[in-house]
Amino acid sequence: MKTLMTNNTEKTTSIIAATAMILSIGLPNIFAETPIADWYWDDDANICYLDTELNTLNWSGAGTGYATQIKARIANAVSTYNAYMNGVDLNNNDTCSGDRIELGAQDLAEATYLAQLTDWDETSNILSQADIDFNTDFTFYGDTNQCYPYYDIEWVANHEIGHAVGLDHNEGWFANSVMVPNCAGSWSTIQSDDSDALDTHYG
Amino acid sequence: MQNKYKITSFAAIVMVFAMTSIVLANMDVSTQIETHEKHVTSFHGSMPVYSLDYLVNVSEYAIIGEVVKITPTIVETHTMPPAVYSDVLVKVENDLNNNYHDKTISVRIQGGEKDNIKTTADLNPKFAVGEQVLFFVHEKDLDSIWGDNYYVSGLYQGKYSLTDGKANRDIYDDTVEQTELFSQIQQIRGVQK
Repeated sequence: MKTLMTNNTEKTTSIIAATAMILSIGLPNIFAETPIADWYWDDDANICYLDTELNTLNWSGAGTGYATQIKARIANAVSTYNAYMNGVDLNNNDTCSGDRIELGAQDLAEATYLAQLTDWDETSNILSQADIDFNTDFTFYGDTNQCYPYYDIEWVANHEIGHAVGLDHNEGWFANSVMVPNCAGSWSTIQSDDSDALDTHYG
Repeated sequence: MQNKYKITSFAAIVMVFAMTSIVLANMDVSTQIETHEKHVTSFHGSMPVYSLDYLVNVSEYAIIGEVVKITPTIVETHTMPPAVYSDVLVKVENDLNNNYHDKTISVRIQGGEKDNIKTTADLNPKFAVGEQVLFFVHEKDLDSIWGDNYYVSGLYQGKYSLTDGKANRDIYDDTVEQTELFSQIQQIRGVQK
């Protein structure tokens, strides 16, 4: 009887040891917070819409010239970030001066980016300008809540604004993040992995 | 009985190791912030997941070869800050599409370092001199940011590093057998072997 109990205890202990070993390797990746870049905004930033460029984007299969509709969707993404950033505000005031994030469009070519974020000179780690360019080679949509084949521009904006405020890609195994590199359902809004990272920068 | 204590002690050590790993992985990384000495411009992007079928069909060439030279160059436009792009020269051993017949090919990627400018670009493929590679080459698009240069279709998704019979992509540790991949590409493209 005593031998049986000892065997059971040993088995249980071995299972605990094996589980702990697996967790020690897996957990850091599973629960990895979205990484932050080494730059950030130290003051409020204006949101600047480049209408002429946004009008060149293909919109909802209807063609070009839809900057107004596109701006409305991007404004939703800006509001999402403002709800999570305590230290600074992204002023959705369409002002193209001062510290700012410019939103426009560019021909980034076929089979490349949906959109690209360019951070200007990060010498001091404090940003003064960031540009988001949506790719004129794609067609974007509003309220499709999906990636392929109808790219929801608000989802793409959620991801790019994340870069603009200093979030890096989250490549954790089971990342629940708007910052996973390839378009996915988690781009719909700021996720749990991201909010802690935003707190680190702007809490 | 002694064995029981040994196993329990081992389990305890592993638990401590596990907890330490978790704490370290979730530590505030703000201590890693450091000041750059150079002017740094960085590109970050968002991409769809491109299937192998799409990459094969959208590309003019599927080049196998060896990287022989990487030349950084500063690109300035009126809409963007000065940034470093790199021209990657590859000695061509084969084009799986049977379309490319020159001895070398040059493709442009974003990122690099020249003078006092450093540019990082997280979704671009990484190349190293001497590396054996397979990559999908898109035809030039003069109006795009790549100008009069070939570029890699799918950026990082369109480049494989070839080693010991395996083909590996940088992200997600995506490794496949070279022979299997080559034959799949030619099958998609409908190329006669």
